[in-house]
Amino acid sequence: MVTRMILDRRTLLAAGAASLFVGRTAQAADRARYLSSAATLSGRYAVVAVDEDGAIDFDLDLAGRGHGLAVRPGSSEALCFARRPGKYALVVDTMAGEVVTEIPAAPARHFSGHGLFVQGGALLLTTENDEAKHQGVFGVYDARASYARIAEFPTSGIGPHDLALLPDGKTLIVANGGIDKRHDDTGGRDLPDISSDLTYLDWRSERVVERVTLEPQFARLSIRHLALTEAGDVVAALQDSADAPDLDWPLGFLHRPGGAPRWLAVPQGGWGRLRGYCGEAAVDSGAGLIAMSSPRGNCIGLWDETGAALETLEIHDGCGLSATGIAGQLLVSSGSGELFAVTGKAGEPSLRGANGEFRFDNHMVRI
Amino acid sequence: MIRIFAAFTLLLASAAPALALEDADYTAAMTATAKGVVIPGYQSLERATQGLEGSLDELCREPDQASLDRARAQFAATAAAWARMQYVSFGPVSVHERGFRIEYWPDKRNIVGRQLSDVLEKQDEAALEPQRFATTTVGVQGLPALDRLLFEGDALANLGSDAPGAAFRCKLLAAIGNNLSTVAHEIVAGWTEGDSAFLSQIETPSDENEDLPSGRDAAARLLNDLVTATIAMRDMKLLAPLGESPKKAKPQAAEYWRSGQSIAVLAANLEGWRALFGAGQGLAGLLAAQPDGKTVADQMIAAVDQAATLLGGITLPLDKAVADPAQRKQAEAFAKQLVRMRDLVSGPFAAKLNLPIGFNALDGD
Repeated sequence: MVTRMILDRRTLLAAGAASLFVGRTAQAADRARYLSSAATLSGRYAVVAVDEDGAIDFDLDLAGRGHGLAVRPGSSEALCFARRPGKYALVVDTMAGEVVTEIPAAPARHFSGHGLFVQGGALLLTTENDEAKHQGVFGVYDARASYARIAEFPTSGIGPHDLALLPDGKTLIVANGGIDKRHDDTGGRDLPDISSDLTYLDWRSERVVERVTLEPQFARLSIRHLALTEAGDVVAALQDSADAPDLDWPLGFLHRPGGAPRWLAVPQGGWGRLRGYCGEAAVDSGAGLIAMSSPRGNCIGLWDETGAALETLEIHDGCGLSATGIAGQLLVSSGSGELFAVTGKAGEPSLRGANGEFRFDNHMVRI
Repeated sequence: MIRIFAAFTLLLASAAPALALEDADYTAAMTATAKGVVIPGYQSLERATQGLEGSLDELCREPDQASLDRARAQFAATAAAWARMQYVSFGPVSVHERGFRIEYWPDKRNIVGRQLSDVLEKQDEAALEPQRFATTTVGVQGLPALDRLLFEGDALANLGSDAPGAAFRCKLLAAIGNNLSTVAHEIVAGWTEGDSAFLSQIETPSDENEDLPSGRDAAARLLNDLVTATIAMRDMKLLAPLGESPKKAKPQAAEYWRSGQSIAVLAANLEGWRALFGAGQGLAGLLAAQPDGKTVADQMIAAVDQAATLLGGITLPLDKAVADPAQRKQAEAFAKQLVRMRDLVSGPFAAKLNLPIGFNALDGD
């Protein structure tokens, strides 16, 4: 395990202070940027835009720890969701580096940390929890009307977390994690088996199309994060809900509508390297590369689109994953504030930059 | 709630105490911690292994109840000395698999048992020669093998002159004792001897040293190790044997259940924790020197002392306690206290000293 260099603090302060006063630099606008939740070591939470070399472009305060992000198509708007159980989602303008508005959670609902846009960016769908019934719901918000909450419908499961939209534009996939706030309050380990599933719904009719569950012996695994491959598979990244995870259990599978889940191949070094915990999944469709991060195992597992294992790369506290627009290259963010480029071929993750002020939270999207 | 004055809060937060910390501060603190806590801890381990080696030789010369009792006591002392230092995963202990060679655990696939049976069956004395033994399978090299040889079955009868294989068994005990004291000596020497001594790397960090480019990196490394070890105490040492219920308990998942040292090594783990912060020097001194740092330091000492009190409430051996509802409650309270300790390190302590302690690793979402 290699601890990467932490930049000199004075340099960082100088850089940070400079960016405060000049706002976004002209140079930054020309470079690929990524949006991520983050926190400073002193415990300030923010949503930050970072360029591909790890320099912070802008940062906006969050009232608490953020989590997932959603980019609105055809617009410079993006959302940052509060970490589950979240009481707000922040809409930001990524060109201006400004807050547009804040969406409060509806009464007796909390955000689960993820959402996405449908209908060309007109509507926002979020995963939420009904705090009275302890059931998952989708919140429907009209992005054209200041994100007014116009409807909700069931996710048909408990503890919905990440969600994805098939290329047909109508089929929504949700990872019902099977764990809700009550489970969190009991600390997890006293639980009987949880009830996690992968549910396909038509968001327009709100009807369930298909439900996928794991074999009974893996009923403790929580399906949490999703990605889609070019070939039409859903990649599901799992977490073992037990405090002492079984290190031999698989933590990721592929699924295609109408089929059975297919476990990803045992990664290089064994499933144990992921310490029972995947934090994110991503796909580089250009090169057919699947990645799952394990900040607990301090590594990133890589597979090809058929689910065959490639490499497992060591990155301390790495979690956020994003495609880069360069085929075969994914970007990884870490809890130490670093960005790494990884490929399916080169043996070592290459450090692109570190900022030393902000530690990157679980997720990152390209803006 | 949106804070419009983000810029001002950032400026104020940045201007807070961490600004006063230079890399030289971390380097000085880590050097003091290395000299005052880490190296003395490994020296204690070395002395314990030397005592153990002597007692194993004595047991073989004169196998009787008294020599067996002495060997068992030296085993317990060595297991505790190792547990006090178990949280450190970097430096000389990480080279040549030294940590695993001292204690290969947890052992879910009974590797120690299988390798030990294999060695005892083959009776290949040449394989016990120190150089070869040091590169043999890790399962037979360290404390878990002694946990079986000294506590499983009738250990004394197995060493009696008329017992089959007794002579080889004795030579194996001696080989393990010698191996442990050699490994402990190599760790101490790795920290203190020669131009590339690990202590001198701590004293003079360099960008060219990928593992320890700065004093701050070294400090973050040590504290991340402590956080990881604190959660390992909970997950591996407590929750695994506890299982979900008394009926689903796994007593044999307890560390050293054969020798009944499970609770004693947890207590030693806590002593290691306390040694790092209790002496008030090094990183603990740096913490106390920060504004309100003394408050955090006091909280950390109080937390570990409270943990020791809760652990003291587990009065049955852990492999028995896991089947006892009242004792389970005590164990669960202790487990919760470990989380508080972890949160103090990765929260207020990390913030006061501006150290990154696994952010995503600890998220759980």
